[in-house]
Amino acid sequence: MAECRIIQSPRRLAGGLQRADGKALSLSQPLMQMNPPVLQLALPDTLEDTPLERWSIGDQIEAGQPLFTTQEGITQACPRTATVESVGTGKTLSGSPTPCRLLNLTVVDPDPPRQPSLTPLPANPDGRTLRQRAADAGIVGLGGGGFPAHLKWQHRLHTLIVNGAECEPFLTADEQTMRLRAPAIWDAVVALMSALSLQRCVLVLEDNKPEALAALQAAYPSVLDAQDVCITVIQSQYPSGAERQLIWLALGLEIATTTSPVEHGIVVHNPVTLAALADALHGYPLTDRIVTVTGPSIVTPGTFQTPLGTPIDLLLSQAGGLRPGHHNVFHGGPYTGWPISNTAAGVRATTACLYAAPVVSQTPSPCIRCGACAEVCPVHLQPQQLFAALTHDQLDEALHVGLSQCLECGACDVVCPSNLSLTKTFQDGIQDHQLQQAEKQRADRARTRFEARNQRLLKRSEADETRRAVRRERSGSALDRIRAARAEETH
Amino acid sequence: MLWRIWAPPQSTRAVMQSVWIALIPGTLTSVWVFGPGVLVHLVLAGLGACLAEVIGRRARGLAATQALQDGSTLLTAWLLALALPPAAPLWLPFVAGLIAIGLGKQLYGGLGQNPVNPAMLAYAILIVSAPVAMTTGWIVPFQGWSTPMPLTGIGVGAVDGLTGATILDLYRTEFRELTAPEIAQHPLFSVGGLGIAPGVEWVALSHLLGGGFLFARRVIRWQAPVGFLVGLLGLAAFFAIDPDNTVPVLTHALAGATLFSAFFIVTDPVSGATSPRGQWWFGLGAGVITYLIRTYGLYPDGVAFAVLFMNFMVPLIDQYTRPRIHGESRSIRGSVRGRS
Ligand code: SF4
Ligand code: SF4
Repeated sequence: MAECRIIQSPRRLAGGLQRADGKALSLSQPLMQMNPPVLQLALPDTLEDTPLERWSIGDQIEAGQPLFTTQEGITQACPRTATVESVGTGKTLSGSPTPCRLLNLTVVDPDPPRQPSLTPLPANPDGRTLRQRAADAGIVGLGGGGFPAHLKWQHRLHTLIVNGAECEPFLTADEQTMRLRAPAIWDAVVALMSALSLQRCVLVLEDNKPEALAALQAAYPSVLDAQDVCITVIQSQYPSGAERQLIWLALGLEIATTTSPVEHGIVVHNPVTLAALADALHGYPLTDRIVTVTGPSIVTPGTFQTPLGTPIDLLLSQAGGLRPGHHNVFHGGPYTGWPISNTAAGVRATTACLYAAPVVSQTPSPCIRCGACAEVCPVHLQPQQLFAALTHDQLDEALHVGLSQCLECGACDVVCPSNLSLTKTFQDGIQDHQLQQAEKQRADRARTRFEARNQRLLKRSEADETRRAVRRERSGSALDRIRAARAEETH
Repeated sequence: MLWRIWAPPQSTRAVMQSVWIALIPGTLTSVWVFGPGVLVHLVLAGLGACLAEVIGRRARGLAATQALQDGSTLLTAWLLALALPPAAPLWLPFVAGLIAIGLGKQLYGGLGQNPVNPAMLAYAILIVSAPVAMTTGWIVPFQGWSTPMPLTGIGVGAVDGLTGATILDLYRTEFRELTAPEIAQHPLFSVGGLGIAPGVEWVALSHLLGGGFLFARRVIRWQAPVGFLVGLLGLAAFFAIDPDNTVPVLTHALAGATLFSAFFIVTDPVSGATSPRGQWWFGLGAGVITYLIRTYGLYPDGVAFAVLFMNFMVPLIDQYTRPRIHGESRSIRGSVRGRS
C-alpha cells in the first residue's frame, strides 16, 4: 500500500482572512446529477462562421460531438444528445450590454455520454498527444480561470501544483471532487508528470479538508512512489488558493505579477480540471462540471454534477430554490463572485459556485485610515492609499503604490469598518489603466505610422528637389546656350 | 455577550464606541482625583464640538441630523475634556470643542479628511492664545470635590486647593534648585497615590487599562504607543543619570498626559501613520519631541505640539514605510509626484 508524504507547510499568509467557512452547508448532501431538459450554450464571439450556417433548427447533435472550436484551439463538445431549438443572440450571465450568441438545445437523451467520443489514449501519452487531447476535449481551468490547459503546457515545466486549497468560504466543488474522484486526480497527475517530464508534484490542501486528504491518501497510486510527490497541508486562510500565494505557501517562492508562474516552470491546476483531464484521457470530452449551489438564501444547498449550458434557474430550483425575500445570486463565491443578472443563462465551464445571499444595503462612510484592510491584504498592499489615490483621480499614484498587484480578492472589503467598496474601486482602476494602455498603444501605433509617412513624404520631396535641381541645371544650361546664340546673332 | 465586546468592531461607529468604552476607567479616576469638574468639561466640550459639527455639515450641504452618527465628534470632545486642566474656566472646554471640530475637522471636509489630530490642534491653539487658562487650572489631587469651579480663571491663586500647576510644571520652576531627595519632601508627593507622581498616577494607570482594552479588541496596534513610550521614556532614562536636574522616568511616565496620549492620542488612525511600521516611527517621533519640549521647551507638556508636528510628517512616513509587496524585491518608496 503506497503512502503519500504529507507535509505541513511551514509558511502562512501574512494577512488574509480566517472566517467561518460555511462549507458544511453544501457538503451535507451527496453529489447530485442534473438532468436538464434544455441547454443554453454561449458561443464565443471569435468564431468565424455564424452558428446559423452550422446548424439548422431541428438538427440532432449527438452527445460528445464537437460543437465549435475557439481561437485558442479548445473544442467544446455537445454535453447531451439534443436537437437544435434555436440559434440567436441574447443576454449573457452578467447582463453585459453586448449580447452574446446563444445555442439553445432541447435534450433528447438526458444521460451523460456512455461511449467515449474520442479514442481513449494509451497509458503514458507524450506531451504532444496530451496537449492535443486536452484541446480536443475542451479542458480549461475549471477552478474559475477558464484558461486553456494545453496552452500552459507549452512552456518548459518542472513542477505541478494541484490547487486543492479552495480557500474561499462556501465553495466546495474542489473538495467534493477530491473526496469522490481522488483516483482520477492521481491518474491525471501520473499522465502529466510523465508527458511533461515534471520533476515534482505538490498537492496543496487546506487543513479544513480531512476527508479529502484521507480520500487522496487512500487512492495514492504506487507508480508515483518513485517520484517527488507530496501533499502539503496549509492553514485554512483566505486567499491562500490565489495562484501566487499558493506557490509561495507550497514552495516558498515569490513570483512577481510581471511574470507568470509557467515562465518559472510551475504549472498550477485545480483538482476539478485534473479529474476532467483524466476523463479526457479515457475519451470523454468535457461535458459536465461540478457546481456548488450554496449561500444563506438557498433552501437546500448542495453540489451538482451539471451539464454545461444547464440554465441557472433550473440549478437553483434543484437546490430547493431561493428563500422568500430579496436575494442576489453570485457567480463564484461570497468574496470574488459577481452578481448574475440573467438567471436564464446557462452554466459555463467556469461556474464553480452559485452563491445566493440576501441583499444588504450598507452605506459607506469615509475611510478612517484604520489600516484593517492593509492588515489582511495578502500581497501587502495599502488599500487605503490605493483607494485615496483612485478617489482623487490619481491613477498614476495608485499604480505606483501597486494597484496592478491587487488580486481583487475582496479581503479588504470584508474587514473595512467604513464599508467601502475597495475591491470594486480597484477593479475599475485596473480597467481604466488597461483602457489607457490600449489607447496609448493605439496612439503609439498611429504616431509611428504618422512619422513613417512624414519620413516618406520628406524623402519624396527631397527626391523631387534633386530631380528639379538637375532639371533646372539642364534647362539652365539650355537657356545659356540660347542666350549665347542670340548674342552671336546680334553681333 | 462577552464576545461581542471583545470581537474586533465591524463598523466605524463601533470603532469609536470601543474607544468610548476604553475612556471610561480613566474618566472615572479623573473624577475621583480631580472632582466633578471633569464631567462638566466633558459636557461643555461635547456641546461645543456638536455645535461646530452641525454648522460645519450645514455649510458643506450635508444633513445635520447625521452629525453624531459615527461617534467621532463626541470622542474628540471627550479626549479634549480629559486633556484640559480640571479646574479650567468653563468657557475653555466649550471653545476647545468648537475649535477642534470646526478648525480641526470640518474645515478639512469632515471625518477621515483631517490631516492633524483635532483635539491636539485645539489644545495647541488654546495653550498659545490662552496660556493662563490652560495651565493654571490644576487641582491638588483628591481635593477636587471641595474646590469650587472657577468661571473665569481669574484669581486662581486665591482659591484653596488649586495648585495652579502640574508636577511637570514644578520640575521646571520650583524644583530647579532642589536636589532629588529635597524634591521628594514636597507636600504634593504625600497626597495619596503611590508617591511617584502625586495622585495622577491613578489616572494614568486607568488609561493604561483602557489602552489594554483597545489593544485586546484590536482597535489599536502596539506600534504607536510603544514607539511613543520608548521615545519619551528612553530619553528620560538616558538622562536620568543626573537625578538632580532631570525629571525621573516614572514621573515622566505617570504624570502629565503620557499614558493617555500613548493610547488615545498617538493612536488616532485618521491623522496618524497608517502602516504598522509607520505607526512605530510616528510614535517614536512624538515621544522624542515630547521629551524635548518637556525638557527644553516653553510649555510644561509637549504632547500636543509633538503630535501635531508628527501629523505633518505623516505623508512622508506613509511613503517610506510601505511594506514590501509580495513578489517585489523591494518596497515601493516615495510617490509618483515626488519622482517626477
Ligand atoms: S479598512 Fe476601510 S476605513 Fe480602514 S483604512 Fe482600510 S479603507 Fe480605510
Ligand atoms: S482586493 Fe486587492 S487590495 Fe484588497 S485585500 Fe485583495 S489584493 Fe489586497
